[in-house]
Amino acid sequence: MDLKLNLAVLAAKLISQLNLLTGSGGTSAPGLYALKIDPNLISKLSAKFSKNVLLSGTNGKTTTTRMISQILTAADFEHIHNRAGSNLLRGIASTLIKNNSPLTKIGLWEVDEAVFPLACNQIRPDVIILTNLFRDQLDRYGDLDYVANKWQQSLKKLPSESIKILNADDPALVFLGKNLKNVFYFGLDPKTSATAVQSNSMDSIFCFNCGSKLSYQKFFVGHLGIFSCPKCSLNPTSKFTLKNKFKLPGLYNLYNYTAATLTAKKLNITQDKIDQALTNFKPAFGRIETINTPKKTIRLFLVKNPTGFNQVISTVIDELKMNNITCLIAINDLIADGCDVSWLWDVDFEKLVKNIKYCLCSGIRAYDLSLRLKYTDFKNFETKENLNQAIDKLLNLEAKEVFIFPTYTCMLEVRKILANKKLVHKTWND
Amino acid sequence: MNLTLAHLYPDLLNMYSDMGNIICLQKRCQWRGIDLKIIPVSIGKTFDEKDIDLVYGGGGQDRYQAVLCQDLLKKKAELKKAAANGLPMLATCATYQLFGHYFKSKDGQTMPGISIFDSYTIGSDIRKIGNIVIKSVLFGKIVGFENHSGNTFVKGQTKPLGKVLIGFGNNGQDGFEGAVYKNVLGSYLHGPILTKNVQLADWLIKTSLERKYKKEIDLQPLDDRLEQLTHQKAIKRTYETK
Repeated sequence: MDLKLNLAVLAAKLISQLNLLTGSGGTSAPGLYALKIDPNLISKLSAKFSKNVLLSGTNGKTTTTRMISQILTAADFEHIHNRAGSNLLRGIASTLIKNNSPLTKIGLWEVDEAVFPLACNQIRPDVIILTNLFRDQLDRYGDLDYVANKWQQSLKKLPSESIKILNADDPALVFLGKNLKNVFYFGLDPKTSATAVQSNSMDSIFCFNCGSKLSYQKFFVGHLGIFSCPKCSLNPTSKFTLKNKFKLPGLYNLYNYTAATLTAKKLNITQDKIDQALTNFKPAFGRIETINTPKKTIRLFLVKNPTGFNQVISTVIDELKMNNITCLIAINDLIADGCDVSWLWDVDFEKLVKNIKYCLCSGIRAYDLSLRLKYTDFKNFETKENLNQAIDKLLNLEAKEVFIFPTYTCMLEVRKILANKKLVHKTWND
Repeated sequence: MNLTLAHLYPDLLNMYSDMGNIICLQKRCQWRGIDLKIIPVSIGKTFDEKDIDLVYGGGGQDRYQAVLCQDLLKKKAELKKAAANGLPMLATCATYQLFGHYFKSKDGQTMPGISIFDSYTIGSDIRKIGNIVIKSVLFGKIVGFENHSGNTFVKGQTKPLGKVLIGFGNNGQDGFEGAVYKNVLGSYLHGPILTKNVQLADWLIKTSLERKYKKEIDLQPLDDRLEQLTHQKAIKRTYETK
């Protein structure tokens, strides 16, 4: 009997009980304290499963992990998943402690980019999925190369039989996959039509291998695209691709669908189960959401970083062909949003404003956003820092259809405000 | 009137929303009827002082810094001469570091700079990240966000841009931020620095015009209420987050 582990689990359970009693919703507190008692708790508890699947990357983590979870459910694989959105070690620990059903076969874990090395060491995953690597939240990680190096060291330490599923359209990930065994690539069909051009927010346009400037035939999402290195031929040999026959728009969602499908195939799940799950898939609240109210249709799109925001702009304008838009953009600078809001200047607002009729700027950094809009020469915007007031104003406008583009913590606030107005359920199922 | 800006290595140094500084200069020129032409000066391109009225170089990843420093050395003589002749320049983050004598990394590797500033940078393990407010004799309060592991030390004829009111600054030790030599400004601040502190943008435009047209120039005032408000809100936010 492992005394330390038992004590840790007991302490965590007590804390969850207290949380339930006091109504405080912290999902990661039990894990946090349990890890203090037994730092190897994750390693010990996750070792019981026949497979552990670990996913990380800058964009698409939550959506792709949820897709995989839905597929596992469709295929009747008992699994657990840190789905409450806590993708640090403490969130994984809390999930493991809470769900210790003896029937669980698979542990499915979404982890923050910076936590990936630690999680890899603890979980020793059988399947790893790396979706992409962008310069999200450099205020936390410092440098893109720093993260890439850490990932590389982690991948090298894993047993060669572990399955690595990597994005073939991301030069950084293709570089990481070099010289590793059991690497499988996913990506977009080169024929996929793309409207992206080289933008200000390009990350990996230089070869990680030899430093030469990569040549691109096509950009799909940020620096993800059809690339080749003129000097050292850093190219994946083949990749798994998919046509978007599903509901969610946007090339970034096609990446998510493709990564989830390839993962499921590697877990020997049949195509009909995969299709069944993905056809019915619904993303987490606020990522892409349409809320129909008696007076209005509200469309909610989470905007996490310049790449994500540019993708949302491209989806709304190029794919959904929206114009004359009435919208609310809400920008916070809390840790989960990124404390540095300079990224607003890397967003292609020049493109967005051509299709906007009126914009409300809200959130802690409402003025930074307003200033950014001013420098596109767009005039029809208004600044209301208080999100409650901004939403009130938005809902009282004439437009039948309105858009909300919030950063992460703003999205949580939006959800609360809409729930208080009884426009969405308080207990949104995620 | 017209101006030509040389943007140093825009393909390699485009971190931290540096384009915001360019957009800011462009718009503030355009709103005053000044035509601002931007010329990218990257690897293999020559820099010629006589074609240029203003220079900007931004931040980048360490890996790219090493790639371009060899090329920058080829432009050293021209850029140094231009700086000594009073050409206005703004160097942020990586360019700020390389405008000094050298950057010595944690593992002891030394990257040579072009010595426009009498300064040097030593790599460290501690990344200095967060909102920052400094006070400058020339420009008053300057607000932005810093994110650097290098510690820069400024000496001799090069003076700091300002005193740190809140934040880390050049090295987190001596209480100074940035550097000034003649009309060359260096700083770790992004935000981007010019958008939140338009007095710097206007100073660069005015100084460039006066140098080019060899006469005193009064810039046409703009409606900067939103700029001022954003500047003040950012300062307030800096105090809230510390």
